[in-house]
Formats: sequence, structure tokens, C-alpha cells
Amino acid sequence: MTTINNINSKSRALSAEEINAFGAELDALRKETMASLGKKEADYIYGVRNFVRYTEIAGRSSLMLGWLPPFWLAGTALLGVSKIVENMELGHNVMHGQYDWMNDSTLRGSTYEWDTVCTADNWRHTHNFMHHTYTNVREMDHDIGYGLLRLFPEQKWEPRFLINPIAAAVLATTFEWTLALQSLELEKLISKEKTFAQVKEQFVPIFAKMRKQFTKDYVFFPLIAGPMFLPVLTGNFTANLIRNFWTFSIIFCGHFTEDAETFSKDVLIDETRGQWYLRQLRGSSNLAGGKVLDYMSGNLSHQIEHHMFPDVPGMRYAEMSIKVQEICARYGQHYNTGSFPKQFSTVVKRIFKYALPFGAKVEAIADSVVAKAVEVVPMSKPRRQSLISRLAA
Amino acid sequence: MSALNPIVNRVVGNLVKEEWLDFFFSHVDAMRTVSRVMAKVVSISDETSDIKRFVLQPNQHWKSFQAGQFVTVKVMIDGSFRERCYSLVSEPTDGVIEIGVKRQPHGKVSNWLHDNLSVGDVIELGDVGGDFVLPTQLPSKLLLIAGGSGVTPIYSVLVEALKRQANLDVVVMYYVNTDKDLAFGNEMSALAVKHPSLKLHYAFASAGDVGRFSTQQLSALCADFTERTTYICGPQGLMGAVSKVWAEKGISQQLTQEVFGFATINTDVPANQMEITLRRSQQVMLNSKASLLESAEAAGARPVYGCRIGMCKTCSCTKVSGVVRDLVTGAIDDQPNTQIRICVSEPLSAVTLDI
Repeated sequence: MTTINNINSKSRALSAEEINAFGAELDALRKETMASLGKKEADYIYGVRNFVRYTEIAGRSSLMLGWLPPFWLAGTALLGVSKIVENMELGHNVMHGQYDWMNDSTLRGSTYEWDTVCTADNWRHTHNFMHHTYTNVREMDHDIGYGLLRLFPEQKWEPRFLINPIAAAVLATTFEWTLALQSLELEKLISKEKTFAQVKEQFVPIFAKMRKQFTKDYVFFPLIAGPMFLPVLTGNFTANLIRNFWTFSIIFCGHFTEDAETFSKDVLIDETRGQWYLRQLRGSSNLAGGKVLDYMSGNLSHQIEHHMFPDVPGMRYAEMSIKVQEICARYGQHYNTGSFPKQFSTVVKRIFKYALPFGAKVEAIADSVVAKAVEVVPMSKPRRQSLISRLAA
Repeated sequence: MSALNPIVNRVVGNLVKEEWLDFFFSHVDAMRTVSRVMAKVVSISDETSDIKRFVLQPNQHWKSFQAGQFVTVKVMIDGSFRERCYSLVSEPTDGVIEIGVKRQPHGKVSNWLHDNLSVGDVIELGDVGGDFVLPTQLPSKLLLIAGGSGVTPIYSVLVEALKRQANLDVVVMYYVNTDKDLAFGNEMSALAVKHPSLKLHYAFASAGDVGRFSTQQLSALCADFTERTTYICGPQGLMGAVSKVWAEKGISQQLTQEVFGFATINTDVPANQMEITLRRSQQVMLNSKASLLESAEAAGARPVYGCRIGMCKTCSCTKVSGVVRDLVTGAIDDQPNTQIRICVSEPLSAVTLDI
């Protein structure tokens, strides 16, 4: 299948044999890593769970003295960190079945319920199955824009996308709640592909989880705080906001950076294992950082490795990335990585750029116009310089 | 805690995760849990050179058992939980429970128990099970045949039988390698002294042919074996020989067998004849296709699935028992109660899935 090789890709086009060999090398890496799982990984995930629990206890306790600013700040920060790690390093990874091999029923991917508004069942379907199988395939991977944003030129422009930046900001602020609604695909109500009755029926388990989470953070804990209810309430709200912004940023850096590619539906026809790996590579991007970033991002700093090996424990991705980069280099494939600020800035650029009707065709025209303009008018130096030179003249 | 149980159950069920409460309790007492059965090691003793006896004190969630049944022990070895079943040798009315564990040459769990478990340690117990039990109506004559570590359920049944009827006519035939391998020998001798109706016979393989099972030996020691309700637990060879004799005499229904060990690769049956049992939907089918998922679908079942390439884990479910091979990596899994992706697994023996 040659449709995997996009024209503007920074990666070299590969033949069928090369793609098979590429896939085989990655399969070998996966097999080697899986065979080595043992006490180290088990101790690690128990450590993560303990960290989540102790920071939650510490955070919530601290908020009970929240009228004093240091306790409110410490409590909110601890609770925010607890929620981030529970959602990302613990929940997301456990639900991928990364720790099923431990035979610990409390860490089983198919039954784990995480501490956020989105139901685990919906997440398993929308994320584990849909997003990971159809990664960055247009019209299949709902995560491309979440039905709300336009992020790639191939997405058909509609006037509603003019508010892209505002929509993105709202999405980031309410990420926990909008993710919970993702499986409803509400934009299909606009296009009439779905009926309100269908949405209503699917909303029942979502509402149950929403109520449970809401009660926990905004009713139960404030209530037991007695006179301290207000700092507890604001602390919990802020901690949730912190988690929403952080997860939004990390997740958006995963597939919407400058060099991230999307694919048309026909790549899925007879897609070989090697082609699947190639699509995962080209549709994902990493964040270069240290161990702290790895931990706090749930190892999604290694989004490429996560997409190639979703059921391998995330703590192994950093080590696997050395081999993955080496393999990519040999096959002439671009390994999309960069610092968090740099990668995120390209995501922001996308959000603003594709609010406007830049389509793939328009982009090509715009590029050629700019190219022509450069020929006619030489790129001038910064204005200040030319003003000074004019004054001097 | 018992008076608060209904309230606790409601709280746990609806509001707080059970494991959160267990985590909370574990800081105070490792034995305290919401529902999991935990047991503390009270004593460890060497019964023979390769059999150790472990006495355990279970927590309040321990339910009773019948003599001859086994308990599942769950231990974490090298990062994952392993389950094994061991026959209970203590009496159901005892406050503590006791198991006898033989060190298997390549056994992960038996070696771990022998080398790593200490007095005071707390381990998790699973379900009690097994059909190796006496009927409610005691038979008039019993024949108990044990081989090696198979003496554990036999001993349990023996104690229970004599407890119910002190003068019950019981014959015990116990096959071991040498006289040093007579596990529970002292206890059984004491029983023979106390209960003249009990006839104990030991046979040592080290003594040669006379120490091995044969129909002549059986007729010599227990001429009326065809009239006795018989229980046997021992190595494959012994059990095979005995069940053959019983089949020839047409009295197989009088023989109750207990088999130790879990699933092994079945080389006698071709791949497409392997039996797949779906426990919850109560369906049994043969492995007609390449993977467990496809075979189940071909038989009309509708297991949940996703990508069908072993990546999304939507089809992941519990393999209760059986040996499977991963079609992508070639890895073989023969352990009970593990998670497998049925879209990329093929059976190498009869397999039972919890779907």
C-alpha cells in the first residue's frame, strides 16, 4: 500500500519489503521487553498507586486547613498531582492492560475504574480500541479534533471552526467533562447522523459517573470539612482544573505537532503489521524531557513508543526509545520529538491556523504565492534596521 | 465488624473501592480485609525431606470446608500472582488450617513456599473446592490408596471417616519411595492403634517389585476391594494402573480420584479438536479456527472484540485453565486464572474461559 507515504512527509517512502522488515524489528523489540517483565515493573506500579493515594490523602487533609493560604496551596497542588498521576501513569496505563500479566485483579485493564468523570468502559472503547487502532485516520479517529476542532488541512472547513482557539480553550478547561462526553459524538446531532434518543440512552452510565465524581469533590469532602467547606471546594475545583489543563496539553502534543501526519481511510485496507507500526510512528510525537516529565505525563512523553506498544508498561518506553530511534534512522523515518514548549507551540499554531479556511489545496496555493513573492521582493531585514539605515543615509 | 457488615457492604459497593479499604486496613493489620481471605503462617515443619507442613491462621472471611477438599493459595513471585491448590490436611473443625506442600523439581510455587515463606508471613487464599469428599451416608467399607504427596487428601478423608464412625472398616494402601517418605506416617500409625478396624499397609518402591501396585498385591491385602468405596490420589502411573483394574471389574463408579497439577499441553489431540469452554455463557465448542475468538464466533458465541490484532485488549478475558499460545510472540501460558487476548491466542489443551 503506498497511500501510507504522504507527499509532504519528512520520512522516506518505503517499499513493501522494507515495511515488513521494519515491523519485524519492532515486533522483536516488543517480544524482548515483554519477556523481561517481573518484580521491577510490579514494584513500580504499586509505587505509583501508593504515590497517588498518599498525595490524595495529604492533599485533601491539607485542604481541611485551607483557610490558611499555605495549606490551600499545598493541598491543591498535591491533589492536582494526585489526580494527574492517577489518570495518566496509573489509570490510562492499567486500562491498556499493561499490568494484566501481574494477575492482580485490582490492576486489571478490563475492570479498572479511574478517578475522573469519563467512564472506564467508554474510555476503553473510544481510546484503547478506536483511537489506538485507527490512529490519525481521518473520519475514523475521533481524537482528531474531538469533533470540535479543526487541526489538519484535510478536515473540511466549516464556519464554526472560526472559534477554534476559543473552543480549544474551553475544551482544555473542561477536558475532564468533554472527554466524558466524547463517546456520545454530539457533533453527529448537528449533522443528523445521530438522534437525540440515542444520545439520551448512551448518556445514562455517563451521568452516573458524573454524579459520583461531582458528589465526591463538590459535596462529600466539602461537607465533612464543616466550616472549612469553601477552601476544600475551591481547592478541589482548582485541582481538577490543573489536571484538565495538563492532560489536555500532553495529549494534544501527542498527535497534533507540526510534523504529525494524518491518513486517509484507504490506508486501513489490507494494512500489514509493518504498515500499522509506520502509521503509529508518523501519527505520533514525543516530548524530550527528563524522568519527571516522563512520570507526570504518564510516559506519554514517549507517545511514539506508546502507540507502537500500547500494552507494554509505560516505564519501559524511555529505554525502548533508544532502539526505536535507531531503527527509525536506519529506515529513513522521521522521529518526531522536541521540547515541551516547542512541540506545544506548534500545536497552538495549528489551532489558530486551521480556524481559517486553509485547506490542503489552499495551502499549496498560499505556499506558491509566498514563494513567488520572495522572488520578487527580497526578504527585508527587520524594520528597525532598515529605518536606521534610511536615517543614516 | 460483623455487626457493621451490612452498612460496610453498602458503603463499599457504592462509594468506596474495596481495594482502597483493604489498603487502609493493611496499614494497621495485614489480616484485615473487606472480603479477601488472608492467612498468617503459624508454623512450618519438615514432614519428609521434600514435604513441608504449613499451619495457617485464616482471617474472619474463611469459610468452612469438607474433609478431602483443597484450598487455592495465591502468592506473588517475580511480580505476578500465581495460584496453586493444596489439599487441606487439618480437620474442618480446627481453628487453624494446615496444608502439606511437596517441593516439585521445577515447581515455581512449591519451591517459593519452601524457600521464602516464614512464620508470621501473611498470604492470600482463594477458593476452597474439590469433590474428593465422603458422602453424607458413610459407606460400610472404605479403601484409601495414596501415592507420595497424594496422601494429603487421603489422610484428611481418613480422619473424617474415623471421626464419624470409630469402628469403620478402612484399609489404607500407601505407596512411597522409601520409609523416609512416609508423610503423616506417625499420625496414621496412632490412628491404627486407636482404631483397630483400620488396616494400614505401606509399600516402598525402593524394595523393588513388591513395593509397586499390582492386582496380586491388591487381592492379597484387600481381597474384598470390589465391595469397597475407594478413594485414590497419587502419581499418574499409580492412578492409571488402579483405574484400569477398576474399569476391568466394572466398578469404576466406586472409585473417586483426585488429580494434582494443572493443565499441560495435550499432544494427543489435533489443534482443531481442542475443547473450548465458555464458563459464563455455558457453551462448549471445538477449536475449529486459528484463534480462540474465531473458534468461539464460528460456534455462534459473541465474545467482545476490538482491533482483532492483539493491540487494544478489548477481547482480554480470564483463562480459568488450559494451555494457550500467543499467535504473535509464540509465548506459552499454562497458568490458571490469567488474562489472555483471545483474538491472538490458540489452545494447546482444553481451555476454559470466564466469558
